[in-house]
Amino acid sequence: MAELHILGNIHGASNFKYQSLFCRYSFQAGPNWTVVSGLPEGQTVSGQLGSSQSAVWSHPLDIHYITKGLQGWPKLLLHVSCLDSLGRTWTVGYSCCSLPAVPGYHEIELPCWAPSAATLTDRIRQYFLGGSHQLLQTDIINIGLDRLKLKTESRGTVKLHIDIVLRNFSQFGVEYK
Amino acid sequence: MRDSEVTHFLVSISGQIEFASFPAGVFDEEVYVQYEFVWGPDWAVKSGLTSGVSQMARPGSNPETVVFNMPVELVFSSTNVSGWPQIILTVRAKNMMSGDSLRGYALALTPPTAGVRQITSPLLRPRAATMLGEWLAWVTGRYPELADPKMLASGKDNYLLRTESYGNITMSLSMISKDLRKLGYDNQPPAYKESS
Amino acid sequence: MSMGRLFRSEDNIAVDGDSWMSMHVVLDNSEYNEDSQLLLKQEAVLLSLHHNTTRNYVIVSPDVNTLEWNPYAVETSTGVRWNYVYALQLEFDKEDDVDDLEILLKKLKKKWNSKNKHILNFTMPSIGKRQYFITLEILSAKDFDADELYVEFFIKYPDGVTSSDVHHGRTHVTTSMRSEDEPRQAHFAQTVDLQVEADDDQEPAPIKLFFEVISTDWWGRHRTEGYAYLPLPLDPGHRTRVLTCVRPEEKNKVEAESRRFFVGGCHLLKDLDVLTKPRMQNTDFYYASSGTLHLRWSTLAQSTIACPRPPAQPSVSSASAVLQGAEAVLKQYRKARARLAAATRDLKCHDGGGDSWNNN
Repeated sequence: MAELHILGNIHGASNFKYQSLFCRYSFQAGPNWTVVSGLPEGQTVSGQLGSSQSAVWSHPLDIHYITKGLQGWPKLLLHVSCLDSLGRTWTVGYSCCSLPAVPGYHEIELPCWAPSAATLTDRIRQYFLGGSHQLLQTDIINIGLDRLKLKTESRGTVKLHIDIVLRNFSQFGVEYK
Repeated sequence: MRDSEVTHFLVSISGQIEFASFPAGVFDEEVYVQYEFVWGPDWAVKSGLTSGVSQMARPGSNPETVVFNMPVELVFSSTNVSGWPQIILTVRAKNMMSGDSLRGYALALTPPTAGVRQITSPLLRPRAATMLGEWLAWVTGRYPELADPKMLASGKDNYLLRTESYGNITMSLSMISKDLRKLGYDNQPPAYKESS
Repeated sequence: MSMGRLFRSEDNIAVDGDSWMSMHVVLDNSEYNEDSQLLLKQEAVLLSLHHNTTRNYVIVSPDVNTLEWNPYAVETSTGVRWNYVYALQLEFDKEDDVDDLEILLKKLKKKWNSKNKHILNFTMPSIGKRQYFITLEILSAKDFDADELYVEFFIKYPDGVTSSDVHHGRTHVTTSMRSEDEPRQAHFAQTVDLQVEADDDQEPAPIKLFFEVISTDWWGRHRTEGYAYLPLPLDPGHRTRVLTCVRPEEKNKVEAESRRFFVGGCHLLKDLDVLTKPRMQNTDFYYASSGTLHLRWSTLAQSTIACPRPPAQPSVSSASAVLQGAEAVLKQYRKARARLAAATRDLKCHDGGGDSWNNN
């Protein structure tokens, strides 16, 4: 069986307009893939927006997959939230990226978007009281070819520093570089 | 050793912790850095020091950087790429007025690809829980600290720690491996580099 | 078990004249000391083979079963159950004049292969075909005039390839964000998974991808903001690309601007192949540049060119274990042979006619 190692860290977020941000991440893969070791889901520390308009987390990632086929290459789903001084959290962005299939070091930028308020009253409420809309079904982030019905707003970007190590893929006739 | 008998691969990490940079300026008299390596259960240290403390350093002509140039050298032996060693740095300052206080923690992954890599990691510092605590920390210069910095490396149970970052630390590490290819692992990037 | 009782019964009248020979496979959990002398006898019969030498047929008792569905439980003759289950299978082999040891090693190899079958089990494309797996990500659109954008993409596959059914899709609608020094950005982060199959010996032509960036407004009108074309070569690798988009516009500038402002309209190009061909001079429209579209994709190719050599690593530990197992089995085999010789010595005294089975 072929193996995939993903090492690295979720570096931080930039260009969000909120002070204190944290991120929940989740690795998703097709049925051929099984997690051997590592945490496929987790949550970073909360970072304060610094002088460079970016919040840093440096959250370590170390996940080991084993696979019986190439379909369903793992993807990383992110859910960025804001934490205020009272301890309340609300959604600030979603993003998804497919992990590179090439070994080596990659710096990946994930552009984030958040569902926007649908009606005028929702918009007013969001302006005065804060809070936001959250997705009920998060699988729309990575699955689905026609997302036209979803209205969103673009938010900042999350940076990922990832190293990929592959094992035994070339023995099954797979070319990746 | 015959090919079929190879079970372990060796990884040698060497390099130095070069400097820490604080864009807001350094107001401390003396700054030093401690490093510690963490690794997974399949890894074992063959030689080298897994932790150490640097000398005391002060900023020179550039008031924003403090240079350490602290050498780091380790050899690991392992059967599994999972649990690749990470380095945890603690930057502390020593002042006459406030004593020994924390400036930040940094976490970096030692390079899994062969060759030299320059890594710049942000320095994170826990924030006080209350506004009074924050004001006190600013006045006295003693910031809240983590009981065990190694929790940052495990990636779990960080309990949504509130942190702030006021600097970076740069290190230059190089990795050499033996028998990694023989065990079927491929960590080499392709020869081309496509520009967008 | 009932068959055994049947054969031991004194009232068995159906078997007059027939001579029988039995072989029992017994699970021996008895205790022995170093000289192979019996200390405590604990046995359970697993399988009995009764050979009718007159009419030349074999009765297998109990019958063949499977380990997953209906295994047998190990029971002693007194009915005490042990914690083992087992299954029986019949295999008919050619009788060769080979050494016992070779037969034993062949059986061990077969057992090891079936245990490690899952390691060699990787989904491969059919022989002579090459499969390509492409994950395309539409990241963002930058520097367009309008605020609320979405991207519609069309895929045209080259001839000679079979493909997954993805031909068309649309991203979500997003409001662009503005940051200080950077142009307006609209974030999509949409992943599209494609799978293409082609013959091994041919180099397939690139897949043609057409993107249309469309803006909507509060009226619900859709207006084309730009088109982009990407010929995606089927080379393995991970790449990022920034495409500049163009918008077809009428030659008369006044007419073009007013049409665009009042009417809008999307899907302006009926035939997207126009984007692939070099521009002709005598057309009645020209292209106006608009913003940029950022894409990223990863391609993998798989074919059955080389016969996969089973990986050496998993065999390291189990190969030595298998060899050690083989040695242990040989030791047991010799012990069992000695025991059998002792047992058949008794048998020879009891039924004078039957041959000992290992003299065949």
